[in-house]
Amino acid sequence: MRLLNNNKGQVRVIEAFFASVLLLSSLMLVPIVQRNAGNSNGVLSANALSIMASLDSNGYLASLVDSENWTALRSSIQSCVPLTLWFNVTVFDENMTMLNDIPICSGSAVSDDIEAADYVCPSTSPNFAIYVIRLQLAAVD
Amino acid sequence: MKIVTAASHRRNSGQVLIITSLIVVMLLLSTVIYVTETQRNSPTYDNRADPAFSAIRQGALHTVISALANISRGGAASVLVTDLNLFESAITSHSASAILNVDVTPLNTATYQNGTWISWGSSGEGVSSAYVSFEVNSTHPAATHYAEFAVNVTSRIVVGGFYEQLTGASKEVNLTCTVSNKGEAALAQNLTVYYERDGSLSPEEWIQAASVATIDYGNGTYLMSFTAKTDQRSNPMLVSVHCTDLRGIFVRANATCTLVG
Repeated sequence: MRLLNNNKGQVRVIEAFFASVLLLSSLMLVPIVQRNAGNSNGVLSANALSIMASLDSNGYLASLVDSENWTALRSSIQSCVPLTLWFNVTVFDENMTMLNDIPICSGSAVSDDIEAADYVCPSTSPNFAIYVIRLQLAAVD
Repeated sequence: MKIVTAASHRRNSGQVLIITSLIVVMLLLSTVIYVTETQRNSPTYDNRADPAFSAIRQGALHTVISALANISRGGAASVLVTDLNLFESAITSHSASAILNVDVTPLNTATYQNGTWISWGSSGEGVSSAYVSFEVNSTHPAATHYAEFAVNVTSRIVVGGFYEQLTGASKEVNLTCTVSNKGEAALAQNLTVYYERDGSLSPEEWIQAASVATIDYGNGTYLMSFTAKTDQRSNPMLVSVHCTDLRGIFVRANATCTLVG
């Protein structure tokens, strides 16, 4: 009988409980949204790094740069990049001086959403040299 | 007066419950935040999934190969540390998404000195090797990654053979040379054979063998035959095989051939 007469407090407790559940669930959703947004931004740069690492597994990229064979470098990258992606490669030495005197790309960029990865490429030859190969990727709209 | 107090007491009991529920919510929230922060700060032991780590590992391997190729061809032993420092500096300065910290430790044991071991003995076995340990810490706003790995680059050849006396001081020499990288069969880029003019190492007078017939079995085993002419018929046959493997690492082994026939 006493509980029935005291409904006002219980309703407030239930309201507070629902409010806290709402607050908690919204807080739990924020990191998921952030994670999803972050993943979509880093996929292309991760792919770029993987492409260069796989091409250089036997020191192939470094040997192409050593011999300044930009045509072969372009062909190698092109064979690994899907046709739906635009790419541009820039080769630097350890002092970040650009080495390639011709553009190594698949045409002009068609999207503003360009991602890039820098691959540090040490030479395997006895005359040690470090190159930095920057691969830019963008999805063709 | 007593009635009023009882009514206000009834009204306050709801407020106490609300405050209690708020405290519980705050406790729950602080627990969630604590767990999230702890997960974020705890290092992730992962050296394969992250493409950046794979690239670092690969770059480290190439750096050690380059340094060993240089040292085995007469370069200074300090080249390894110099090249590794350059590599470390390059990867830390070109890491855009994370702060990298790389510790490089060349192996120092009875055989390895400052990460390198060059043993070109006279017992038919030659070794050129380098061993370096790496520790990589990657601090990213989302996570902290840590990896430990070692790079071992070893080229080894084993040489053995026999010879038959021909007319005069001429000898028909047959050699077997086995090339391996870290215990696995490997191919040679170049093999050169020398023999001692008088069969004595004091002084060393090596003559390059001419017209060496080489059979490559494709599994790291090479059979080499040639005709040598020493000063005296009784001179033993000492040979030296110089090998450069496909990675450009030089290794040499000397052996004494046994007389047959």
